[in-house]
Amino acid sequence: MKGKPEIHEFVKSLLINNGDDGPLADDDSLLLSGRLQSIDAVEIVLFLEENFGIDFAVIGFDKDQIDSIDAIYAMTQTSGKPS
Amino acid sequence: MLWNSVFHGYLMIPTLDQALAMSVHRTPVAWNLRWECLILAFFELILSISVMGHRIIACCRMAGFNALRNTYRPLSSTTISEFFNRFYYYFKELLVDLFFYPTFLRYWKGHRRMRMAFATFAAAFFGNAFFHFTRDWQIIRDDGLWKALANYQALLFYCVILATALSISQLRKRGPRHPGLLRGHLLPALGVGLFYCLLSVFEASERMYPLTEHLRFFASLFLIQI
Repeated sequence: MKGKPEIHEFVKSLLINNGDDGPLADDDSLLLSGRLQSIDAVEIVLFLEENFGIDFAVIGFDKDQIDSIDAIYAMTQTSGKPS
Repeated sequence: MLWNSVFHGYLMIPTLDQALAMSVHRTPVAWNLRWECLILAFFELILSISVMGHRIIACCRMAGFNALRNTYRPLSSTTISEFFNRFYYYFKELLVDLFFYPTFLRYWKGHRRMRMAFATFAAAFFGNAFFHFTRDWQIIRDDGLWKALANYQALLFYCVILATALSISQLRKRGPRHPGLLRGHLLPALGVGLFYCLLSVFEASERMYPLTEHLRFFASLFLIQI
């Protein structure tokens, strides 16, 4: 199963795609701060589905769940399945 | 006031609604005026949405809330979906939260592109059309459901075209931008602006005329008579 460094790397790549190469801390807000857009949230959802087996249709979806690297990692620990 | 007196008074450019009405009455304005009023209407819409959004966000921020901007540099958008995101952020977020995500998370999970297109249609077509239809509930009350739906054909067409364009825009692979100013920024931004300009023909004079009249006006922009 992938861990926090992989999540960090993935989020960083999304930010760079958006022209944001600023510093990224694990507790930085991503979506609610506007650094990432809704379309990037979709990319995060796909990343979590494919790499952690998370099914948001089952657990429900809230942007807070994926608003920071810490939040994403915490969710993978509680809802993820080994892939 | 100054805007109106300069463009619609001094320069005598009709509004898009006026130009469409004259086309409906078979006394169309000159071809160049049709384009001028279309472009002017596009900028007027951006300005009015910006002013409305900035006022509300300014009040929120003065009250201490860190609210995100509503309109943010829409003219710098190089894709149709980027413009939709920058033009009216909170309406887009409403559509995304209520229609896009619920659809995206449940349907077509095995088909990535279909999943994205279907969810985009759920938001930009169904959500958008549903919002505007129910927003003007007085029309349904006064005219009845079927007549209200029949008068809604131009806006439904608008929503179909918008949803199709957004789907294509999102499905196209996002790669690094062309570094040049002309090919990387200016030409794509002009293309996006032109698309929304032309699309606004079907949004003008909401529900007053059938779709055929909007199509006639649209065709007349390219000197085609239908």
